[in-house]
Amino acid sequence: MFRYTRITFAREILMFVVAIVFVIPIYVLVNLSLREGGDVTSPLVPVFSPTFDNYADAWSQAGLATALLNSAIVTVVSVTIIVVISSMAAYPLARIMSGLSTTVFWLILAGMLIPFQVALIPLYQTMRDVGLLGSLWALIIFYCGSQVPFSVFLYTGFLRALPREYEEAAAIDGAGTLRTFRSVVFPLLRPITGTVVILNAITVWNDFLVPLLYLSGTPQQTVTVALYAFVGQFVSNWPVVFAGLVISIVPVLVVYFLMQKQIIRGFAGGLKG
Amino acid sequence: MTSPADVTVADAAAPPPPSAPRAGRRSRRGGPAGLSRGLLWFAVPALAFYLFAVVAPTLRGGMLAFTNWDGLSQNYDFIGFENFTRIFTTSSSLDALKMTLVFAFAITILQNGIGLLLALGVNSGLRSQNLLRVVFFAPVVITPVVVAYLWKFMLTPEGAVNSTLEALGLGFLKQSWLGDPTWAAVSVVMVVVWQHAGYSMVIYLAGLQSIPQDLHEAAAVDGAGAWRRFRSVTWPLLAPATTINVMLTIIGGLKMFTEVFVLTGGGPGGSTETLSTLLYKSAFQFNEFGYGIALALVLAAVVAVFSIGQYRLSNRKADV
Amino acid sequence: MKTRNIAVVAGVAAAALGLSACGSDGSSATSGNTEPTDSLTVATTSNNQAPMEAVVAAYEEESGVDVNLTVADTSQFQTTIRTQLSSGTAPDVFTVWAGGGNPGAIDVLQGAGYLADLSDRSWVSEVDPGTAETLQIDGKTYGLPSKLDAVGTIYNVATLDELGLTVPQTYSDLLQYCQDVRDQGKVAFALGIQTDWVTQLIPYALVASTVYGEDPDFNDQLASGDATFAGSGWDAAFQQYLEMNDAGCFNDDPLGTDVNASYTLLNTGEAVGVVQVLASFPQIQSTAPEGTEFGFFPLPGDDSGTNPIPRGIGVSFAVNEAAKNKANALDFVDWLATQEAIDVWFGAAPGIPAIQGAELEVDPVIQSAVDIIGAGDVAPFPDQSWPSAKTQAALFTSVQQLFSGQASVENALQAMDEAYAAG
Repeated sequence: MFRYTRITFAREILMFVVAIVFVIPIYVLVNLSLREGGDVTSPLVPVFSPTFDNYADAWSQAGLATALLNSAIVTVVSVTIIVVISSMAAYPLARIMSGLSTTVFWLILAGMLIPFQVALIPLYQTMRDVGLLGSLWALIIFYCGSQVPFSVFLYTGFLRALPREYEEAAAIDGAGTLRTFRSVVFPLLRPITGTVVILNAITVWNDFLVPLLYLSGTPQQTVTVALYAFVGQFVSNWPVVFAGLVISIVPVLVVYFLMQKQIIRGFAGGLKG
Repeated sequence: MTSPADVTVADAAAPPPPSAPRAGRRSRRGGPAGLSRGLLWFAVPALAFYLFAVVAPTLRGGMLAFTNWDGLSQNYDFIGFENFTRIFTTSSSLDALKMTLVFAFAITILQNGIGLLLALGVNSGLRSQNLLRVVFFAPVVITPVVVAYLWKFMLTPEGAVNSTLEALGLGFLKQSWLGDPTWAAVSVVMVVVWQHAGYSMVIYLAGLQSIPQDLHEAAAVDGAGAWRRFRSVTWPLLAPATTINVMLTIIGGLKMFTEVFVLTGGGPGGSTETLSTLLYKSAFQFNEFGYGIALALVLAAVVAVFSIGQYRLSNRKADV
Repeated sequence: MKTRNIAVVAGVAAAALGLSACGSDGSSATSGNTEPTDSLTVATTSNNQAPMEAVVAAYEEESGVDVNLTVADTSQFQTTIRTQLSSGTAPDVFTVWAGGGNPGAIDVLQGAGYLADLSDRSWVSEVDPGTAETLQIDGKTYGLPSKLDAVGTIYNVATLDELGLTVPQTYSDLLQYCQDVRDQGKVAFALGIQTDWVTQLIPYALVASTVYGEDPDFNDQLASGDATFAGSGWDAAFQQYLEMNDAGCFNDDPLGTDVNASYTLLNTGEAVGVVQVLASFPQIQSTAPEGTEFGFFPLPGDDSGTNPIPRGIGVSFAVNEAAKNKANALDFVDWLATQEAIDVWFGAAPGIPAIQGAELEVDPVIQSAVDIIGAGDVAPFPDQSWPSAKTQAALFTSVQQLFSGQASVENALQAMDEAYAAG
């Protein structure tokens, strides 16, 4: 595909320099998380005798084990539903460019305009009335609704750029619309599905105010809720705080790392399919 | 746009023509691809969630903009457009509106520019591209509150940023990053772009990977140089990714809340107050929920004007 | 848009409103469930997490009640509790602030009738006099104070000794003291007003002399409209604040320094002291090198030689009027007022008990403050008498603008008067 030339090498060096600038804050984060408390040397100086005590403290004090599990459940279930319903919705919205379809498209997009504070209290009260407060389902339903506009927007944008011929061919071969969607359209959407998955996963995983509000008064909490209480408690004890932060970041970063290879391979497969 | 290279591109971009008999059958079926209105049922599950979790509560919440609700009590009165009148006659909210636009503009330009460069960089066959993709994306993964805390820690007068500059012999660039009204605004933009450039990169990357490789090769065979290939092959075919990215950054920039709230709290002296921080303070701290929601609706209107404007504009360009 | 589409949109909107209708039924503050249950929900802010967890654990053991504790950062906590109160889903016991100048203050929350009247509890008569009023509305008590707080200078004893200086006794001394410290390459006070709430601490310490020294009932005059911030001792306090800045009392670039960085300045010995609330002391201590010895002195606001300190109720607890476990909530709050609970609480975080007669071994910093309060050299926390958080927000913004030169003292006082008048 690409030939590795001297120019490529120069580009590689350049990207490395940019990467270092990008990584400094993260280096500070990790570096400080490995320090003893009360160590006031510059955050840039690498730690000589790293300690993992902060991680142990953060893990036990913030109660991260169950919180990680809750976050994982909410994120996986929400993102799965979001991908299914949004890609399905995007199919007609991208392909039928008139009338009702356009109206629905704009109605959905309007959801991206509104600041979350507007709906915060009414939705909370609705969840209270249907008895879902304190349950992870309240969070899942909320994310499935609130992430639809963004996800449908991404899907329709890419679907409109995709040629119709594959699905037409499938339709002519006698496949029903659902089957066409499942076996032709959805695989073609794989690169953007990867993006939809990872960006939604981050939003859901990192959300804070909604889980705090909805799970308040139950023993359930998500990672961010556990972590912020913890950050508030240990403010300025940066080593412990940063250790907690690193723990919360790692799962999502690993998922992204694994997925991004999948996305590339997925796309190649999708084109052939 | 009628250079020879474009013609080549257009030809190559055309999907493989369906075989003749099939085309014949298709025309008998009427509508393009036989897609019927019935297909709209596909949108029903998404709509159901959306109506329940977004539309209904938004309509109920939006109504509060026309009341004097304090955010606590069980009673409120409808006061018509009084809250809106106040927004457009008070200097604090007008300043916040101005600042919101400045932030959104700066963020849109920088985040997209940098995001695109990063995407091109890690999509050009580097040995380390998988590693680099993770590095550039890593900030996106970190919760915005944490990012803000981290940068706040680093932007203090004797923090990591100033000491890095010192160490690199760039001591003259040292600033009171969060203490000076102008630099505080610059810092907010810098932090947001640092965190979200990888976000834009991922979407551009998805766009780049949708561009069939043979197009590049065809253009290269035609003797187009790297810049020419970018201008005439990559850039036009990146249009969907660009549209999406620009729209998302405009929306994100206008609605940005956490970064400002944690980094500067709207300070120093109110100089970085945006509609988002002002609406939060009004609704949840100053016992003026109705006014806060009115600010939210004004913000939504601003977002609508800019994002729809941008969307229309780029779609028109795409049609030309 | 075709007619048919308009009809569809209208239908969707109607459906949405229909959905919303079922959510709008009554959620008014009823009088909660007074039957005993086996559980209790409690919410507090994260700066009280350690002592709260300690007392909750002790109470669970003692009573057998299953206590569920929710902790959140102050601003998130306030947002949550207000939403929950207006939706009838608030926890049984939660943190509130004394007075009115805060989104979670008693005057604000009880203005909508959400707090249980605690006037008949046995501990009410033992609350520190002079501060008890800030927990009351029309003579009824709505909160149990857990501790007193005060504003003064927390300083590093070793650093001051090393400089061979003594604690300043008057405002004139103070300016000289700043100069003397400067001369030896350090600063007298670490100031981190990038963090908005830090902006208020020095003004509060100064108005204890310049306002409340002459006019102990300034708050009443303000409320009745007989006084304004402009033309009061606040003017002098702001002038002195700037004078101290010009005299080199503070570190470089206080506007760019946040509260945590100010602690670092103190703990690295670059600054001798920091003007703070006692509530921040545990945090300062936790980031200091092992064995650091701290002291406390009032910030002199004038040359009278008497230096009162602002003191008021720190964190307090209220019972939800609509509590689901009201019997337990009352029992828990009563228990918090016992010597046993006070020992547990202050064992986890140093501070001054607000219940009179409580016996406690305390740190020298806390002891100095206790002595000053005991001698009666006290003034109120000004913001506790303000009607909403707006006045305080105006103060934060104004101080930052004073330091950046965007506003004059006159502008600052005017902004505060306007915010106060807006309610």
